[in-house]
Amino acid sequence: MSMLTIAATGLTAESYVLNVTADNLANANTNATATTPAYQSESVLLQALGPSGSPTTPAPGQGVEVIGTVASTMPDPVVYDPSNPQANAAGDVIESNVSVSNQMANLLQASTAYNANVTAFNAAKAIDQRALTL
Amino acid sequence: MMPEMLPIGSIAALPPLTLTPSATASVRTTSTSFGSLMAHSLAAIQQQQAQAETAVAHAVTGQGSTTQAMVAVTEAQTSLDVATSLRNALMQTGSTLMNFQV
Repeated sequence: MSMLTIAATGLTAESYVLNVTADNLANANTNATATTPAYQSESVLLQALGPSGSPTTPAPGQGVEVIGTVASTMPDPVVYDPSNPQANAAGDVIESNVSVSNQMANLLQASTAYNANVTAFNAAKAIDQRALTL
Repeated sequence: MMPEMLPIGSIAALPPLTLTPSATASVRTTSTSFGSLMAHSLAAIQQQQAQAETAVAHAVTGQGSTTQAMVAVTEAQTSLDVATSLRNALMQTGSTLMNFQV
């Protein structure tokens, strides 16, 4: 069961990354309003789940976990557009700092990693089924 | 041709043969019967099936992710497969013993 659960943690973490990337892309064109600041691009922090074994009986690590997200500290782009209802008193529109090209690269990376975990999961499933024919 | 004779003094007395307890008591006696083992694993499998059902329900209603649902279903399926295979193997062992000719 161990290989299945390890691959499952990878699947969960990568789908979390995909969700955050989708959220970033969805908010890429939002602006700051009078009451709310501009959307800040978020990236996911992943951490390895340590091995459960002892020095005498070593065991592999237990997968990966999401430990949180960090907001990007990139400066928000400011566009002068007094006709925009979301412009501030100076006539500036403060846009979200989401970089669509970076997010597309993240999307591709997370998607590839998800596929890799699917392959590992299916391999674990096939190994379990083969073991039952012993 | 005569084989070379050994002097009789070089043959020492054999030490007495003693059976060590580890050689005789190698059969372990545990109180865990096959029935209670099966009951425990079936209870665990039932719980896993319930979790899988919840995950599927969440995925279908949009509350959970497809990933979690499929993972839960696969894990439950694998556990059930393992338990079924073990049950079949043990039942076969039991019937082999029952049909033993005395």
